[in-house]
Amino acid sequence: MARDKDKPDLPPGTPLKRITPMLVTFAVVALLGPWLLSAYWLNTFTAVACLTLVAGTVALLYGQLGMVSLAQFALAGVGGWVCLRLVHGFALPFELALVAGAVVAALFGLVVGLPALRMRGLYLALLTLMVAAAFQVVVNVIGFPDGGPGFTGKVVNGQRALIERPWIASSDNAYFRYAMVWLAAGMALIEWQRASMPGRAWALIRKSEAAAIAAGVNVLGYKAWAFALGGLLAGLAGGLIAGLNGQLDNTGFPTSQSILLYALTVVGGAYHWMGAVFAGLLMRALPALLNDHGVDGNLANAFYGFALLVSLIQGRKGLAGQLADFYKFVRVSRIVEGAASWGVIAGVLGLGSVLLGVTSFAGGFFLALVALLFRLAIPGVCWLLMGFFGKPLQDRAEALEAKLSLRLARAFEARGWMPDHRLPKRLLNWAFIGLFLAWVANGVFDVPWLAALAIVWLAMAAKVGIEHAAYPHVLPLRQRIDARFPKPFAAYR
Amino acid sequence: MESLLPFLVVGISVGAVYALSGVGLVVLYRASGVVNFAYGALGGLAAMVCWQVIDSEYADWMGWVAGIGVATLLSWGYGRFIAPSLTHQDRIVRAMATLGFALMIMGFAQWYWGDDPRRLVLPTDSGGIEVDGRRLISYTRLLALVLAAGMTLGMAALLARTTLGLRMRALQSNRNLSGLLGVRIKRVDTWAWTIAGVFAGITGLFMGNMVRLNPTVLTFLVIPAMAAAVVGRLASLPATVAGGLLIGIIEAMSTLVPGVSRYGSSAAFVVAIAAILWQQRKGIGLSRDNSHLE
Repeated sequence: MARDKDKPDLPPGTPLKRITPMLVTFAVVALLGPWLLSAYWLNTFTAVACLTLVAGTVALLYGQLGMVSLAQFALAGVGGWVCLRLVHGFALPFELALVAGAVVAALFGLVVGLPALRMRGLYLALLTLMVAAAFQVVVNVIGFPDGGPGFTGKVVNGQRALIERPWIASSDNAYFRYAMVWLAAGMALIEWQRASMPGRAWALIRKSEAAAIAAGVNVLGYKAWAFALGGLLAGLAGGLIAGLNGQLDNTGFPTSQSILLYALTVVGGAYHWMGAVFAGLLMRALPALLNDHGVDGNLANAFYGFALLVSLIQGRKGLAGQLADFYKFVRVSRIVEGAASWGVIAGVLGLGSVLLGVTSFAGGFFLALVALLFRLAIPGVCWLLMGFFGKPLQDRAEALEAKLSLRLARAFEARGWMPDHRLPKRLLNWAFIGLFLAWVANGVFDVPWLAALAIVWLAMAAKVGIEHAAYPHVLPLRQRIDARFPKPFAAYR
Repeated sequence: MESLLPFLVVGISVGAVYALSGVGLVVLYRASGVVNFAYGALGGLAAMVCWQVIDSEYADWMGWVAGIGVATLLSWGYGRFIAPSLTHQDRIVRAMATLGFALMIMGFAQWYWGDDPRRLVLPTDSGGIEVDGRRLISYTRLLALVLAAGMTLGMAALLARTTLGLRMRALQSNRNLSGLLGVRIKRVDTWAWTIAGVFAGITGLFMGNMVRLNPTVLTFLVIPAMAAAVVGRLASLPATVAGGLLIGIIEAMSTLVPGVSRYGSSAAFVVAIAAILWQQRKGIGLSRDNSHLE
């Protein structure tokens, strides 16, 4: 396999070290989400949480085992079907039905995976594609249970019954947090498995099955476990989607969505939990946003196809991989500085927007934070896109940019300013980020367009201003901190 | 038997188009090692472009040429400019990249043309062979049948008799060694993509006429075509044709059986799953598919 060196065999760190940041992120989102989002967006994000879990199973199979399963979304449909059936037919409590649905989906996943035990690569992808397509046909005919009689539980002519949400999570806010708890548990299970014994076995199986057998790894058992785990969590997510709406639509689990989910998991990054989150967001939140603006969601599909091509050509680590790489090389002093200055800037802008009556404190605060975050994350994108036109062009553009930047940085340094060797890239990105975020904010938070643009650009300008003003004072401090923590993520590899 | 005949005829003609698609997929796979998920999308685009040209009051033949031409051009472009940057990857990654291409084409077509009901009318629709005063088979379906047979035989001859075919078979057998022996890999690959584009365009026009003129529907008709190719193990042309015909016939015949008729469209998937399981029948063990080592 040609580019194996690009891919981390095992997630770095102990299981606990890996899982903690993820759990903290999910906890923060679960706590802040209902406070920040309107009812429509809250439900959208609940769906995003469910899709993230499904994407997590795709990432598990693809990232850890190198197996493409295009049937994971169909397995979510199976879980949802069983969950609905049990709640309608036997009046089981929601949690019990949820778990039962997950178990049945795990069995289905195992059945799908069984032929895969001696197949890999292409044939498995084709087989799962066929399964997904067949599921679509079957569910189109029998439909999802909605309180009717018989095995399929389908109402023929009449009122479709909805299932009750669990009593601890009957409001939208509570259900969002409820779904986040399940998501956190499911993703923690995946990460734990990836970073412990099964993860090592899977990594070896991906490298070479012969080697795995020679090393005494139970290849069949671990492959089967991967499929069962994938089915289990996908089924769980399906049940959660059913609980969100109280019902499921016959057309809700088409093959196209299964394929799209795979594509977006690769785009998001199959080697990091954040990739699954990106996949969920891209699949549900971005189309909703586009819809808000009256933009055809099909264009998003075209863009996702392009993104899939780019990320496959570019080495398959996806957005999350790029972010992780980026943070691997950030020094501790920068993180401390960043946290302080980001907090101050976002706080001031949040207060300012309340005083001017533009938007809520949370809106201004959040927008400024996202602007500051994107300021770091986006530069890679231009280069990524350029790489699509060929490595030589990308190299030449990067060399040119580096030369320009170096000159600029030298000139800055000569004057005693902070040398910013990325200035040209950043200026280019500022324009893009400002316009894009303002557009998003206008849709999601109903912030006036110009105000949003002002907040974004002010935040970024303030950051640069602070950096420049404080540079001479911060420099000694920064050197001290970096001496204390010489290579923060040296243990990463 | 009398009442079965029309269904059989419909099944065979749709199956012939599946078979034609399958042959296009197999030829490309044999030469370049890429399973082309964008095949259906290219066909869908061809059908939509053809409809657009004919709808703008140009001559019918211009529509056909434009449709097939667009599919061929895009397929050539992908094979010439994008596929080469992926050749060092596993087969599965190369296949999934075409999925990205498919999403791009489908997204564009769906955005541009939308879901409005349309019909792609071919001049051969109006006539047909009649038996006892009843239309047995329209000329369009007959044409599909003849074209499928002709193009499959043509491809078989190309692979068996010509230098290009020889080079394609050499690539199928071992790409690196063929390169060492002087086969221009990129050029042969590009030829395979171009041929696949022509096949995609032609099948797209027939599908747009026989099934439904909708970009998404046509894009996902790649799945039955792939089922036909799977029956032929992505290698054998005769088995692919047999698979395609079988799928078409089962689909059409299942509409006669009460209780099963509504599941008819899953015939392709059931056949493909059965074929895969049959091909794997020697029991569970170490996988022998070494494509990941290339």
